[in-house]
Amino acid sequence: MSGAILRYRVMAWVAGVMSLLLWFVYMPVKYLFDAPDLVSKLTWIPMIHGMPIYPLYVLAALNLSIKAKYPITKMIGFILAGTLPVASFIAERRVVTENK
Amino acid sequence: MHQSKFKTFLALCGVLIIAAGFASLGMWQWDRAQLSRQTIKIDTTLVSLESIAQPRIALPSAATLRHVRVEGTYETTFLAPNQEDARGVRGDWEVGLLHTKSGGAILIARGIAPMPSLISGTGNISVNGILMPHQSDNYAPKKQGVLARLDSALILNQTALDLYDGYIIAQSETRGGVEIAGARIDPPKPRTAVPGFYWQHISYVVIWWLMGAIVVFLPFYNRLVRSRVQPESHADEQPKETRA
Repeated sequence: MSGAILRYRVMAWVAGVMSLLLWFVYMPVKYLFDAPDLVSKLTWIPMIHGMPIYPLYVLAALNLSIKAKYPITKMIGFILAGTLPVASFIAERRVVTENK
Repeated sequence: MHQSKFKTFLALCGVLIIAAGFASLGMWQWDRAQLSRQTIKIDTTLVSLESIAQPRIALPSAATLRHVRVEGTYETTFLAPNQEDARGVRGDWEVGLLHTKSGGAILIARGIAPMPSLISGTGNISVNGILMPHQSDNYAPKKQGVLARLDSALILNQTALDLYDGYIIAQSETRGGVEIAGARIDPPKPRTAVPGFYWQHISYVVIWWLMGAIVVFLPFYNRLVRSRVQPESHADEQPKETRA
């Protein structure tokens, strides 16, 4: 159980940081500024968030939910928390508080 | 009993529809990934600039990298320092502002500086070259007579002419049928779309399909959680029985 919590906490932080970069760096540059050269330099942000980080976060959330016997709605909430900036940090704090 | 079976059937249909939705989103991203790998086919036929672009209107993406021909006279020239050609060779380019016969004006990257001056003299200059989108990054500090980047927006306040978006990399210049000599710039070759985009689409494929798999897994989630509860509760009970 403690391993599942640790895995989830690490992935929540990594996914949270990547979400912040995605929402507040990549998206504004791509959709608000006319800077295709800069966009191509920042393509690594959605790639890294999409390929290893978010799927790993989802698996960590799923693993923790099964081990902690969370209700299905809470498990879905944890999975969706990885898509919004800050939400995964809040979820991580909740997990820490619940398991103190 | 009959109602609960109907509810189960509806829930199953919902799960399958959502999972199919995620799977098709994954397939859509997969197709986009394959498309991004295809080399952009550029039409290499020589066309007049006026037939594919207009002054004061953003350059259509279909017009970029097209081989164009334009006639006119040079109004002024600029230096564009620290520019990079298709082979990655950096150099200072001489850029002319060509007042076209049709009344507009476009920046022409004439060649590696210095190029023979064509501002004086009579007769129109005919330019053949590759039409490029305007640059977004600065390659040099802004100064009088210097273009920090090849972008007509930088010279809006220096001319009353209607400017075209983008610029042309000249492959040849002729005046009165006589070719003007000079070191021309190596133009970019048609290439695939931004390389990172392929893997970006593939990462979306992974996410959508993972979501689909999770939706399919949802009906089994409660059963799995319950099955984890039971062995532990037995484990709690057994020592008590032993002690008793």
